[in-house]
Amino acid sequence: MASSLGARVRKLREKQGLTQQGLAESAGMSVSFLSEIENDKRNPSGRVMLQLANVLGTTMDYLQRGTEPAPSPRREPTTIPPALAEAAERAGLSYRATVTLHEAYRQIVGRRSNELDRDPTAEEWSAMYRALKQYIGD
Amino acid sequence: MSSAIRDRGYRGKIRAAARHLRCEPNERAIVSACRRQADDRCNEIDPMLTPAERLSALADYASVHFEIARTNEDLDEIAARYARLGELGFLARRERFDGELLAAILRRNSPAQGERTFVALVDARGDKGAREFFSRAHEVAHPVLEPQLAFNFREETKARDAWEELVDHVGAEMVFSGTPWTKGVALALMGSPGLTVAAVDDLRSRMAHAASLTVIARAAANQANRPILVLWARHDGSKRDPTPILRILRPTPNDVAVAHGIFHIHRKRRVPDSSPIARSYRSRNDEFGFEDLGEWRDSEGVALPAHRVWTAARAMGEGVFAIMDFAAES
Repeated sequence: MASSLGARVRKLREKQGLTQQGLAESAGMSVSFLSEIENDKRNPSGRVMLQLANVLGTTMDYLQRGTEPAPSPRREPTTIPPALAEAAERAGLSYRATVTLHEAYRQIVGRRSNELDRDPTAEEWSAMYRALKQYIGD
Repeated sequence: MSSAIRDRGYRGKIRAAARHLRCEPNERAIVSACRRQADDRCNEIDPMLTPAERLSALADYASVHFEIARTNEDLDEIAARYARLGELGFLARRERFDGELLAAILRRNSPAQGERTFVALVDARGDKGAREFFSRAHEVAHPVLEPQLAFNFREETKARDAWEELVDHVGAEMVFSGTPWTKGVALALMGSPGLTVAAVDDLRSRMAHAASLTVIARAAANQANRPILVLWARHDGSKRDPTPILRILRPTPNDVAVAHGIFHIHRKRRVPDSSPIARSYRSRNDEFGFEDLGEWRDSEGVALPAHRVWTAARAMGEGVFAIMDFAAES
């Protein structure tokens, strides 16, 4: 892991294929200021850090302390809904593909909608499988 | 699902959020705790952040990265891009976005070093675009409010209506706060004889230009200590009278109006020709002035109780955005 704020900014910038000028323009600062940050010669303000974090798709915590997000937790055991079981049987899906499909659906942890959430029908599970087939690889 | 089961699911989520936030298990305490948390975080960065900047700071705090889809091609590209990274959630819900889904947030299975934990996909295609800002605030509120997201399990509940309403409320409270916003709204509300569309528009341009007038007006109205209604009117029919005429389609009372029981303007209520709302609809210009609610009648001709109010209206697209301010009677 990069050891300082400047090193982390530089590493993320390079990983994203951005030049110093590109990042400086997107974050609303001068190239010389960005260069000083990357060389740990300047301590940026909270606003500047926020701008950099936004453009680099990271968090201020990571830039400042190198803090990593908690690893993705172990999956809770899932119960296959009857409509999915029906769709899986029709399509001859393996258990692994069925679970992957269910996990893909459950990966959405929050939503904003004008209607109540509802469980997919067997037909909707089938359509979902067709859309995801190339990524599930069953 | 019965309302008793639905209520148990909702109460369970309230208790879980309260434990996480270390507050009393009720909506008011939860909203306050989230707002305090948001204020603390934003003040660490800069106490003078505008709502748009607060939203950005809170997205950072909650480790949420936004993806905005403005066209069908955007939506397909984003869903496919995350699918290639092994994050299949958006692609799995792709069809729902063509319905009523406005935004969805997923917890990444395998973020790379330094990447944010959550990705929120906001559908800003067509008419949904007007709700983009608020959808962002809503999605940022999810990880702040729901500790179970961090552990990647969800209590399966159908209580989405009540819960999502609370998430809406938390999102608005966290974003529409801070010194610049509070002072700006106080000035706008001091304008005589009442809140104007121009004042709301000015707040929007200075504080959160990506937000809709409706969102800004609702948030500003909730800071007022007098009843204010935010309205949206359009030509429409009703069950009883299908003839399309100008009617109120979305009446939103502020907290004070709710507390005082002021719900005079119901959905589908006809707008009288003399109202600034109707004048604006005809002229396509901003119109404002005092009016008497006694002029407002239902389909049976029954008038509302007489009440002098200040109304400011602006024609937008096929409808009219309006503010009805009870300042004159306060």
